[in-house]
Amino acid sequence: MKNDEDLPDNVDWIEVAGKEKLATKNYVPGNSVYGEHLQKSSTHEFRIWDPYRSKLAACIINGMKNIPFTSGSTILYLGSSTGTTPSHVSDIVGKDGLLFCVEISSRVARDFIDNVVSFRNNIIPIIADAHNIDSYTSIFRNIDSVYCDISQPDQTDIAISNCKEFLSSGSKLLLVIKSRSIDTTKSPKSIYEQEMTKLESSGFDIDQMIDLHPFDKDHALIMATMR
Amino acid sequence: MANKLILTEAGIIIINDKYEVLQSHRFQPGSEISLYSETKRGIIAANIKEFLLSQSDLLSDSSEVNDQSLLTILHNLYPNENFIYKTINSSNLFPLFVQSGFFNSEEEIRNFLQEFSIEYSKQQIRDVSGKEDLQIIEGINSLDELDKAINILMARINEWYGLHFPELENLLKDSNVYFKFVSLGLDRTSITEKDLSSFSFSEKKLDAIFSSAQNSKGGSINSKDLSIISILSENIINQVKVRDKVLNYINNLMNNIAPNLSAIAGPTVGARLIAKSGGLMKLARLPSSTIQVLGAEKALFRSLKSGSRPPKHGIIFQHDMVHSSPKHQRGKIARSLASKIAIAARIDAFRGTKEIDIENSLDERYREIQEKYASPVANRNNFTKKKHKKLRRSMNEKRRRSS
Ligand SMILES: C[S@@+](CC[C@H](N)C(=O)[O-])C[C@H]1O[C@@H](n2cnc3c(N)ncnc32)[C@H](O)[C@@H]1O
Repeated sequence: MKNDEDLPDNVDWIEVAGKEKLATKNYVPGNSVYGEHLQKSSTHEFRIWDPYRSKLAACIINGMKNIPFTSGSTILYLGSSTGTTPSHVSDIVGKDGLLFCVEISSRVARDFIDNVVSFRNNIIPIIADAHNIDSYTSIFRNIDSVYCDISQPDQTDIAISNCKEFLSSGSKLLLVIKSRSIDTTKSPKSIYEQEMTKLESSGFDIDQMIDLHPFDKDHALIMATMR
Repeated sequence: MANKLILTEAGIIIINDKYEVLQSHRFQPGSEISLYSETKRGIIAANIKEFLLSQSDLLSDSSEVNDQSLLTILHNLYPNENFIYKTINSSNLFPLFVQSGFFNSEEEIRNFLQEFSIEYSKQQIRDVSGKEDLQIIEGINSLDELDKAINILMARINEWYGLHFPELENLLKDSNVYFKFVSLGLDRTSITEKDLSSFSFSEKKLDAIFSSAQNSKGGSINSKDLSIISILSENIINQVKVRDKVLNYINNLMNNIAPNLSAIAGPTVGARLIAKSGGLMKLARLPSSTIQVLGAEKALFRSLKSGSRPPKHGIIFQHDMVHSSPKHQRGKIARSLASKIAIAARIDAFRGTKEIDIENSLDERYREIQEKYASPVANRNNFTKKKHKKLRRSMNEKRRRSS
């Protein structure tokens, strides 16, 4: 399971107190974003990446392979919240990469800007509703992949329309499905199926679907490729 | 082929279909944010207008525009041309920025755009929070005015229908039920059980109503009087419904913009504190001693002039914890509540996340006061002349400074 080759750039397994933990190479050495542990190796400083706090970490630990984020990628990130996961993605893409982060709530955007963006020059914050692509400030560079985590009933549709606008054929979408924000009466499994069918009929091929249990209840992460 | 007009953070660029820059207008460096956000809101600065008007050769029918507001602006400037909205999101703007001479290197562009996006976001945050404060202030003022109006009308109708059926008020203590009854416009001398079938009165209650109606001390009434009283009652019932909607609106807004303050003070008391201080930011900057007496300014100045006791509480008296407590505990509870409110308002204003610790620590302190000061102790809380003098001096100083 703990095969380094499957990890994205700048991500590694680090030994902390005898246990292997997922971590990212700190893009801003000395800076801890949400109280995560910083660990120095001989060459680098790492930030421990908590799968209970970040669904991307959870899905890597649960076995998602070939995550399309690499050093230098340009990513459109929908639903950045206070920046827990974006900060690790910022570590991954590094100084040549760029992260456009869309968030609707100005309350959480304020924290995000103060605690994360102001330390990391590879993040561009955008306060906007991901429904209204027109209200974004310029996405001025070609987007390589889209990450979407916005816990809305129509989250899949929002992800699709953003991909159609910004991605080209062959690029990838990572989509967090929170089954409870779509329909509480159906089983999570049937909702994951339903959302995958929706993606397929909108021009995507499903690569992988990873359940985030035990780190998150009723959540899955889907990776899909735009045809 | 049609050219494209592109609104960017640094200025406006016109390109042809081969993505070659034909013309460009750089926003005045240092004013990019205001020029960009004005344009996004459909307001056009003189320089930009001049630039757009001078490009009539390049801007012709079916030119594409990447922004809706700019599109509207263009249609106003060129009423005879038909421009088309089309995003250019999937293309790379970097070369265009360099070609148009806005920037020299990719690094320069990145730095500018990151700085821009941070400042622009901060401005959006400020705009929104300022606006939300105003909504809360208007909302809570409407609620208070509605309450006043409803109370006045209720008293009036009580008195008016009371001329005819004075005993009813004591029979129907719930004002919702009372005004529903009055809105039926019934003459008490001819009420039937059927008239009252929409209420779920008990047998006993019905008997009491019928017997009071028969033996009432009230005078007679004609149908014209009854019908106007009934209309007024219906109006009260509607206003109460409106009031509930306004209340609900305030609760939602408060939970969104000041979740901690709402949890500690309650949404309406929290909203009144915001209104009284002039905004969440301003409330967050007040010391807790001021918050404690906010809304009791008259009593405070009276006390300073005459040397009487200063008020123990202002708006926060409306908080359950304060007004339902025995008198001798109120000062302590008010002080503790005010200090937690001060912390909550600061977290809401500066951090914006919900914290449960303050709520718990307030509950703890509340129980502690209830236990420790279960019975009143004479003169324990004596307010000495000396302390008073000091307070008066500092208040006068403050007033002098602020004038
Ligand atoms: C589950 S949180 C994201 C957590 C974050 N991805 C992380 O792992 O650190 C969902 C976020 O999506 C935001 N959101 C909800 N609806 C949105 C919309 N229509 N447009 C943009 N953001 C939205 C919410 O305000 C919230 O901050």
